[in-house]
Amino acid sequence: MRILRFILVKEFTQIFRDKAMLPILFVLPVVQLLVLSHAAVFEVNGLRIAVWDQDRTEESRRLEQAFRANTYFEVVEGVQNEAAANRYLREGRVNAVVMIPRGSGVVHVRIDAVDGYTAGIADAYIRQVVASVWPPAIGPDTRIVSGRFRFNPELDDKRNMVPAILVLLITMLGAFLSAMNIVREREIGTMDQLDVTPITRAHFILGKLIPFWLIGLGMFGIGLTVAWAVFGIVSAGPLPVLFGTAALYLLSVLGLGLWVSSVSDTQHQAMLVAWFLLVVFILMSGLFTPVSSMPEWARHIAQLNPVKWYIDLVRRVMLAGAGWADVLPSVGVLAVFAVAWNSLAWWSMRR
Amino acid sequence: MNAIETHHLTKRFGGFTAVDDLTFSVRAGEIFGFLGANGAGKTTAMKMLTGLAAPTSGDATVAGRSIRDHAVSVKKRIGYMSQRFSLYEDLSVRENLRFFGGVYGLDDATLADRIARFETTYHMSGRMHTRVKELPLGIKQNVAFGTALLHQPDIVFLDEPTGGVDPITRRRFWGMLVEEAARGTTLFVTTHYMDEAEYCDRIGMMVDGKLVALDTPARLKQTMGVATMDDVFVKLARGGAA
Amino acid sequence: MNAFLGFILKEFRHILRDRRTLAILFGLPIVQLLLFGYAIRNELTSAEIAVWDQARTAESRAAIARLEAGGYFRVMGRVDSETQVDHLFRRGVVRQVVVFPTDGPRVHLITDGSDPNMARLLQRYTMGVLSDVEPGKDVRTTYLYNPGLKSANLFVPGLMAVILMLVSTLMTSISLTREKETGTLETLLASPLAPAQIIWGKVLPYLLVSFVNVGTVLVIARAVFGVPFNGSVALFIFVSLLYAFTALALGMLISTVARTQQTAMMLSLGGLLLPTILLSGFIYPISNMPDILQAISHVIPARWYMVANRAILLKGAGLADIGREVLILAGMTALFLTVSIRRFPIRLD
Repeated sequence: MRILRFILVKEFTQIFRDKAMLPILFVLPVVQLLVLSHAAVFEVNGLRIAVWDQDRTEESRRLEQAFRANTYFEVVEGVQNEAAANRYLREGRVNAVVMIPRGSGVVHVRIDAVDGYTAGIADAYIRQVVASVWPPAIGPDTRIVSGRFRFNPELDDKRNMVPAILVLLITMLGAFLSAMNIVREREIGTMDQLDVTPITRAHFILGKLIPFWLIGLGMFGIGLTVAWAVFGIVSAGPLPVLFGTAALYLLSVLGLGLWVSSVSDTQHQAMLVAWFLLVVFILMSGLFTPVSSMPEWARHIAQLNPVKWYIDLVRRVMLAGAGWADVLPSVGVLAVFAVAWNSLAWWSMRR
Repeated sequence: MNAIETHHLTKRFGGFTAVDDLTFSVRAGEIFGFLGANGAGKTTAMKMLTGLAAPTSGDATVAGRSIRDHAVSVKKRIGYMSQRFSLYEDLSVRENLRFFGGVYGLDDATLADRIARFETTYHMSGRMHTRVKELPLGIKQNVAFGTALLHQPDIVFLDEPTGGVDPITRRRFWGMLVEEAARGTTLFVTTHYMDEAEYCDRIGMMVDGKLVALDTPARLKQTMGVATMDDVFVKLARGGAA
Repeated sequence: MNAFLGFILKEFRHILRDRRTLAILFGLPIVQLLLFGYAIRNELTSAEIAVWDQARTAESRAAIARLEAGGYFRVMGRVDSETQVDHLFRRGVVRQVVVFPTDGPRVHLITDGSDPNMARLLQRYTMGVLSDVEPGKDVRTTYLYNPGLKSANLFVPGLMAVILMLVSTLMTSISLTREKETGTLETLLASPLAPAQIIWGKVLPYLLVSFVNVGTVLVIARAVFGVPFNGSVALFIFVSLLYAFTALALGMLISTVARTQQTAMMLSLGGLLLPTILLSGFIYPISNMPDILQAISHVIPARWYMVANRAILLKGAGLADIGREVLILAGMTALFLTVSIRRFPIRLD
């Protein structure tokens, strides 16, 4: 225990001595949390459309008025012929051109589908507007589907993104710091000196884990405070569950980082490998696109992704109010990761 | 009593034998110079003796304990100083001392006492809070030596401790080594400077993984019939035997 | 000039000698593009849902069969109470429950809103499958540039931008810092090379590495994902190289600012990764963001490249159409390089 104490003092002194690292550790994540949480807006609005009215009847003018009145749309002027329609679309000045041909019973819609998701939404909204002018015939047998959203009735993206980005930030912090640490001692040559001391492998690994673990948890706490103070987001589920699982999660991420560090020759290699893993983890976390939409083999790979498990867990605790009993299976998975990666780090530590 | 005894100590890397059947002993309290051309196997032998590498076959006792069976308790009894002065450059002198003293298990009172003694012995007052990277090379070397001695080891291994240092600083440094040996500490030193070899009580000379000579500097010069240690070295390294 | 050439050759040898790192630099973009090209999808497939059939009519059973058949949903089970619904949501077993009430042909959806993106997709797809309501006028939609609404066509060009950016920045961000740490910078400073020559000498070899990477991602996008290639190949390669150059210059800038490799890496990774993913328009359309963020996104090089490469690949745009993006990327590159040369340490401190 005494040995561990001295190792911890040394590690903390080194971390807090590096004046360039402090803002990177504590300010960069908070700034990113504040800024990036606003970026994730899937809610489509401000769709730019042009209405090319060839019909010029009262009904067609009502349709144009309906588009102008709808807050989802911004009507762009100047499209009155085929060439203009094509040019506006190609140059990205409009998302869609709505064309009402003379005297026919159809509305032609041309949508820039480079972004397929926005295109699909635009189509649905346009249909709604058309339906407001020409109401659908609803008989007794027409199936009408209505819906509501649980836990986040307004579908506020920030309530999802703030906790998720916080998870990503502590993941990057923990993984990069731990991945570079051991290999750094090796590169600057202090590793040999440590090797001749009575420090055991367990001391060494714990001495590396604990500081980053505490910093990660501290960052998590700061992030939750920011979420509450700035975004007004309060966890629906119990805080002990959040912190308890964060502790376990960080342990698994740090174990992975230490493993990367112990098998790398240089800091550069460690960084590249850590970067590769993190990009895979982040993009396949289900935060940006659903895991269930992936092909089956990719879904299997995603099961090995701690970020996927933990973002899902935090989301359920913070928004759906899940407690220990609800998250137990995920906790089990995280525990397996933590044990597995720390064991790998243990075995591959060249001493 | 012997501080170090090796018995057929051997280390192979694949087909290459870096240390070949090494058997010799180092007496307690002597300065033992370990010489050899680059690649002769000195560093590998030293790595085995300090527990950094495991022998392929054979064994050695260091401070009375087998390096095979008691690696950790051996480590507590030895000090190590390498040519890279592997201190933490971003930590101050005091922080380095506290860290290394602490991991060798010194209690707080002893640690404070030893650090105070270090401060006077090496004339470091006023520099204890300086970061190691800001110290001149000669001072860094003293700090590294003082750090290696902090837990009062029986044996200190010094791996080319004076690399890149000027002659005056080197002489002063060797003065410290002689004093320390007089207090009963065994010093096991590798070096490329033959004038330093003259300070040693005995010299072991490695060629191609084998120990080809082991004697006092004076007797080595006598048997080889040459005037300086330089000539002894060149003659042995080229394949002569003592 | 001879000294400069010699320096570039030396840098090249460094890169080629470290096989492990080189393999990573070439291998990573390929693996990532292949992996993400398949995995990053916005179309709904096999989303976990449950049904709550209160009506138990032939009609409701037919509707459930339609949900199961489409490939969009995976019906994980049936529920018959609100508490069960909550329980399933909290455990994350299903994301939506489709309720068939007893009164008539109405259908009600209860969707887990904790992941809003997924929630919107779910309701949109379910309505598409089950709803009979159509506007009173026939709406005929043509999707331009990406008729199948394939998300690969959107995400693969985006992935190229993200991957090229990060790999290229990582290559140069530690180049100088590493020399600072290992002490070889001293030798460089003592040489007659001017700072500008050192900076160029460090960037140019990596530009060649980037060229290989541009080529591989292009081949994969075309051959594996069938991303349409409506514009000119030469233009695409030119713009991609320019963009890689921007990223290399940015990495260089980081390496002149940072003192240790660790700082350089934390800056180029911790500072760039999320902004490049989130603010470039890769996943979230920039036009949806608040004004401040739209303004911030202007400084993200990936944003400009993504506009340009989607325009070339999908819309068949020519140089005239993407002139603004090319100029901005060139301007950024010049800025990063100039600042790097200015900030280059002429002597050791």
